[in-house]
Amino acid sequence: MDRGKKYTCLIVDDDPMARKQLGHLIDKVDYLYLLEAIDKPLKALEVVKSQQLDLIFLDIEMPELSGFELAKHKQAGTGLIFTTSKKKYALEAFDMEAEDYLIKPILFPRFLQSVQKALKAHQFASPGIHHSYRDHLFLKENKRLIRTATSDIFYIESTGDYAKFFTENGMVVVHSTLKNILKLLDPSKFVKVHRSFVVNVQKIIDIEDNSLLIKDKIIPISRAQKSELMRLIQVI
Amino acid sequence: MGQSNFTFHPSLDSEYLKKFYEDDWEYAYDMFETYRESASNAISGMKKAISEKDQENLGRHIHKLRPAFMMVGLRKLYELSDEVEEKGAENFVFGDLVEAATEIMRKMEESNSIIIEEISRLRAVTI
Repeated sequence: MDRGKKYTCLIVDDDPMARKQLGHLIDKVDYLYLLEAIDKPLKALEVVKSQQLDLIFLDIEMPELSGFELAKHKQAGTGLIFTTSKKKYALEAFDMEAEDYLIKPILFPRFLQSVQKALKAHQFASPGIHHSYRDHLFLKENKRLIRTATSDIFYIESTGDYAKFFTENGMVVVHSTLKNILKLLDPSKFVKVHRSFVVNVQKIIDIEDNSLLIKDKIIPISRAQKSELMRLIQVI
Repeated sequence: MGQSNFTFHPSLDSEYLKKFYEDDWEYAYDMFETYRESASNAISGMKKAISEKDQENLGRHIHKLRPAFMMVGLRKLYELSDEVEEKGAENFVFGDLVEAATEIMRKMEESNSIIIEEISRLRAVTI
C-alpha cells in the first residue's frame, strides 16, 4: 500500500443495516475514504463506470441488477469485495475475480484482512484519488458543487445520513457522515465535540462548562470529547 | 468512545456484541438505531408479501434480516432466519414459509422493548 494515500471506496447494498455497518468499518480505517454508499444498483452503475475507485464493497442479491452484473462494469484496477449473507455464491464471486467474499455480519478484523488483501492485489494498478488536508472542499449539494474554504466553516452538524455545513456564506447540506468528513479536515483545526457536531476551533467564541458558542449557535460538548477539544485550544 | 464497562441486556448475545463492537458504543448505538428503523420496515414488507402471496419477496426480507439480527444480538432470531436461509425460501411450501415468517415477526415484536431500551442506554454512554 502507498503510505499517506487514501483509497476511495464505494458501497453498493440495498440493505440499510449493511450500508451503515460497512460505512462504520470504512470509517475505522484511516487510509480508506468512503465516496458514497448507494442503495440502488442502477444508480451505482453510473458511479462505477464514471469514477476511478480503489475498492467496491458489493452486495450480490439486489433488485434491478445483481452484484455480479454490476461487477462486470467495474474499471480495471478497482478492487472488488463481495458482501453477502449467503455462502453459496463464493465460487461465482471468485470467478468474477473478486479479491474477497465477506459473509455478513462482518467483524472488523475480517474486514481489515480483506481490505489489505484487495489493496495489495491492486497496489500497482490503481491510481486512486489522493486526499490531503486542503484549504478548501467542494461541497456537493444536489447537483451543485460549492467551493468552500475550510477556514470559512463555522461548524458541521450531522442529521442522520446528511451533514449541514454552516459557513460564512450560509448553510450547505451534503450526503455524508461526520466521520467521513473529518477525514478530509485538518485535525489541528477541526474537532468533533459531540456525536452530532464538528467545530472549527478557530471560530469558537467561548466555552462554558459543557457547551461552546460559535457564531450565534450554542453547541453541546460531550464528556468523551471535551479533553480532545481542550487539547487543541490554548488556555492562559 | 464512552464507557468500556457497558453491558448489554442479558437477553442479547452480549459475548458476540462485545466482539462485534469492540467497545465502540457510538457504532453500536448507530446500528441498534438503524435496526429499529429497518425492522419496522421489514415487518411491513413481510406482511405485504404474505398478503400478496409473494414468496420471493418474503424470502428476500428474511434473507436481509438474518445478519441484522446478529448485529443487535438477537441470536434466536438469527437461528430462525438461518433455518429458512439454509433450506432456501424458494424450496418452502408457501404456507410453511408464512409460518416461519410469522414466528420471526412475533419474536421481533417481542424483542422491540429490549432494543428500544438498549438504544436509550447506548445513547446515554455516547453523550
